[in-house]
Amino acid sequence: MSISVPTQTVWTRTLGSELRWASWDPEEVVFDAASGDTHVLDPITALLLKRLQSTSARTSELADLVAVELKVDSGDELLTRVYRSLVGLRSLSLVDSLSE
Amino acid sequence: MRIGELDLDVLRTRLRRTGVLFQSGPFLIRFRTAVPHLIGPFRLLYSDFDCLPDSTFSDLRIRIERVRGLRRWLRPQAMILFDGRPMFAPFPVHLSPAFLEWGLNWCIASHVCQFLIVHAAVVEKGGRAVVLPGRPGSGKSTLCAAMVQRGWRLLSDELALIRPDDGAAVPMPRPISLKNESIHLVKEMAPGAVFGPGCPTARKGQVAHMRPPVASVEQAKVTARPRWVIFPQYVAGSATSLADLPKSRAFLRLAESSFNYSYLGTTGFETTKGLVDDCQFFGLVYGDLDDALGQITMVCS
Repeated sequence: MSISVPTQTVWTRTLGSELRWASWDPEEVVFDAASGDTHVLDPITALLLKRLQSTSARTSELADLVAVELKVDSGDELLTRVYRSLVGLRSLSLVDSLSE
Repeated sequence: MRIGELDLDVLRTRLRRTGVLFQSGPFLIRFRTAVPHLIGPFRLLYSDFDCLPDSTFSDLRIRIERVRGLRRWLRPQAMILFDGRPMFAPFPVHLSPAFLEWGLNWCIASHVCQFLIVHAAVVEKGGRAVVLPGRPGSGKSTLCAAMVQRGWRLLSDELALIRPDDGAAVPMPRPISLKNESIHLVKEMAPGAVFGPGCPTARKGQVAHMRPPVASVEQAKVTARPRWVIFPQYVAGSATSLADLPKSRAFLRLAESSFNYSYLGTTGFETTKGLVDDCQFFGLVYGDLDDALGQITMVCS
């Protein structure tokens, strides 16, 4: 099902979050020291979370990053996929969105 | 002197007055009781443990005492205390041997934080350990007892202690808890194994404890490196299957099987990560003990 993706939403790391990582191809495990929660992330979601630890970015910029880093086709399908991952990360309190 | 070498009257008196101080792995345990049902089973199951001289220090202080009141004449009950505080509701006095083991497990799982504690059995051969995490009924203690009978050294039955500093599995040999058909299976496999009394329980069925081998007790300070983690699941009548588990999924299962992963915070995460890096992971479904042992031997060699 297609959804309307707010491409200009700015995503940022959650203030006070302290993450620890473990990587076992293809998935990654992240530990959120603030909540004590542990999550298994797929490569796209892990890449998004890692990028947002160092800089804030818009949905469209993050989709471009994924296309380049993971060598996948850009387009609406990827944009939707990236947006869903970001919403998932926000529901886990791992990232915040500044405007939508 | 070992507990099994103590005269029964001497043991009874010591248990009643000061308690018996013994060591299981890293823990000094002082156990006191005047419950007659317990003296014989304790002496039998802890026969090879040194009875240490009285000392002012102990890590865990456990007491089992009879519940007083009219009820003692109708349905005698006992209670188990840790540092003088009851751990569980009173229980029928004939279940005291089982409650001693469950109480010790509870104390360690609830109060010890210098180790990552996983609900798992651990056995070792050649310095390399197999960790068998599993919920009650998964068949981990049955496998553990059977592996011990096939020459593996028992490190622990219910609680795997993983040292955060170096990822070593720290032994804590104590009696192995078996239930229902497992008791008969292991007795058939090892006619020489020594068992405590069977305790019929409402929730778990028949429970009996197998005495740890003397070699395991004597090597209780020799740690081992975990190399394999096998999540067993006993399914009656099923064919044996041993399948690789992806490491990220194994990580979560280990964390879920741990009593203090969340409590330890980043230490818990880093210790689990080290364990996952070092080990191969398998899911084992089995219905035949010999077949399962054969497959485990093939991958853990």
